[in-house]
Amino acid sequence: MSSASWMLVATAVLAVVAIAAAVIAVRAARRVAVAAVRTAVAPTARPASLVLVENVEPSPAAPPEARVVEDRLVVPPTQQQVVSAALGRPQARLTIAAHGLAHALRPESRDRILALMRREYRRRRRLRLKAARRAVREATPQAEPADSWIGELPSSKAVGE
Amino acid sequence: MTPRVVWFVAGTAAGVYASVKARRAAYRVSAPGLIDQVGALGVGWRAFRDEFTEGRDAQERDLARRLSQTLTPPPETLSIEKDQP
Repeated sequence: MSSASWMLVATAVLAVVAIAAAVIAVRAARRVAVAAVRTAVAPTARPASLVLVENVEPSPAAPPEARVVEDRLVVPPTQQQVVSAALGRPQARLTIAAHGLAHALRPESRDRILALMRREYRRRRRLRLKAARRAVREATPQAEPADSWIGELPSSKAVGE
Repeated sequence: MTPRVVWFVAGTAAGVYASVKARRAAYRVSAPGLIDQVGALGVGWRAFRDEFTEGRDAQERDLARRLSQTLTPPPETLSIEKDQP
């Protein structure tokens, strides 16, 4: 392999690393910005009287009693623990994920997402074309006056004198 | 005379339509067009992720609620058990 090929491979690797670093940096910056906005907005946006409540029913206040059965300590799990254990099973997680996927792919969501993408593409294209037109307009040299070919008229010289 | 005018108008319209389409297609495969498409794809991906998270959370809440209802014994059973010695 020639040195040019090695240089090409090294440049490609460097480009991949740079793109990955840029993606990570952008995501981190976006996360920080969102967190800052949330902390700034949270006290004013939510009135003090509103309290977020979980939809899951609360577990009973009294903890389950531990018993000794055949010389073994048996502690019955709380309802919350049973629910989270049942929801943590791979089959339940798969079902939940499939439901989320079906929700995201239903016709309303699909049309909304496609319309968002189309609108974003057109907006970017419009902005880019507008910027290009403005750049062309600014780069064009100023045209001379239309009557510059006439030159200076003798009458205007006389008036000037 | 009339057919000529009709053909002229039809040809002009077809030419304008084709030129607009060709210009858009050329922009689509150019570098700025590709960048714009990637940006739009990112917007779509974020919207899709939000929808997915919303549906997943709703299903998780629903399952948790149904499980909690299944696990909680009805009050009549509790009273009968208490009454028995």
